[in-house]
Amino acid sequence: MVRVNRTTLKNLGGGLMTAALFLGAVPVTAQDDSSVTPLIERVTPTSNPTVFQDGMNVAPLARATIFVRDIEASLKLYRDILGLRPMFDNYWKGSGINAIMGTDGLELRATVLMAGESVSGNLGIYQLHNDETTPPPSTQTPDTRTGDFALVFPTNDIHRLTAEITAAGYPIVSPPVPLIIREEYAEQPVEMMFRDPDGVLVNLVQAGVLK
Amino acid sequence: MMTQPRYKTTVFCAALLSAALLLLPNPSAAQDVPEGYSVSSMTRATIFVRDLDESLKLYRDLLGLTTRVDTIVEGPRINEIIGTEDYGLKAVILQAGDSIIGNIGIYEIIGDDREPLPPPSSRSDTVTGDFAVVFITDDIDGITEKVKAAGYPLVSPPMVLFPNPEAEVQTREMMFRDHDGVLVNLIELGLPRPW
Repeated sequence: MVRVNRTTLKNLGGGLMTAALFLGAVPVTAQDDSSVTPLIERVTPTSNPTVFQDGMNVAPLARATIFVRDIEASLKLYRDILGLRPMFDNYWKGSGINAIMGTDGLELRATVLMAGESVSGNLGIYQLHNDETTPPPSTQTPDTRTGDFALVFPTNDIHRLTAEITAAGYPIVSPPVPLIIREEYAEQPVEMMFRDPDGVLVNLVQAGVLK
Repeated sequence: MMTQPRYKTTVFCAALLSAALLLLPNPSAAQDVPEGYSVSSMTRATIFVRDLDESLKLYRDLLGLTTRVDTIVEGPRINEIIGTEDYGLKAVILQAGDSIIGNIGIYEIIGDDREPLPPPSSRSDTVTGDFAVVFITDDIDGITEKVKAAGYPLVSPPMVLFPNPEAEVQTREMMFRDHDGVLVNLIELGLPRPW
């Protein structure tokens, strides 16, 4: 039985369609008032478990997470244009999620996207619900500022992605250009940069072709 | 608008270029894009920090990440990519072990005199617009003690997000803010591991 209450349904917004499609969208509740509703079936990477290399107490960055203003707008970019696919998409309520975020009475939709199945280098797209504060405007300038954040992804299709990104109207910081001219390359490694809907810089890097 | 170039392209000499060639990650060494995708896993999240040395105290000295790249990049090409003119960039890339994915870039724009973005947040709650970096650790208590001693604003001490009655050891996580207001979320996986 799907026990998502009316408030949750309202807050899910565009995620409702996803929830409706996932028949397993049953909230799991803890002994306290915490609950988590999976909106899709979780993908569990098995091929590359988290490992701590010699002398390290932290593993490579599991993910960078953006607390976005509009999750559907973010998914249009990261899922639909860049082609990342969801690892999980959960709706959190209750005291546990608020304690870790240092908040009170908020709910959270948390989607993590990945390329292939990986426990490292993933992207979290999280949206707070019941948040009555007005977020600051996102940075949309075409230059990089101190205080900016950037996500760096390798790609093998930089020119097609750049065309789609440009057509979609994201602020372009740089078209594909080589950072350093390398004589041994017939086709130079190039990179481009633009801003996402929250002002986060996205840097796409494409390997070159050796002579 | 800038009137006084800080780093003229003439200083972009051959020696510096050679150094950059040796020190910057070679793009051809990037991991393959998985079948059916247009991008591969994030190689790094980069923070354009206010004070590079302060950031290194946290990410290198406290969290223990090791230096993969430590260089200064100058000249027209880097400025084109970051959408600026005549600035230099101090670029440090940190990694866990020898992984080429999931690195952290700590970049400082040299001589940046433009209107700065709003000052970093030191608030103890999470808000829309925040940016977080998430690491799995095997020493959440030890690192938390060091984080507290160093005075970083704590958002949450180590806690169980969602108790799993079947777990022998619960997964715990904690969160704090770095020098630039970036949230740092550390997770110590329980047993059995959720993935």
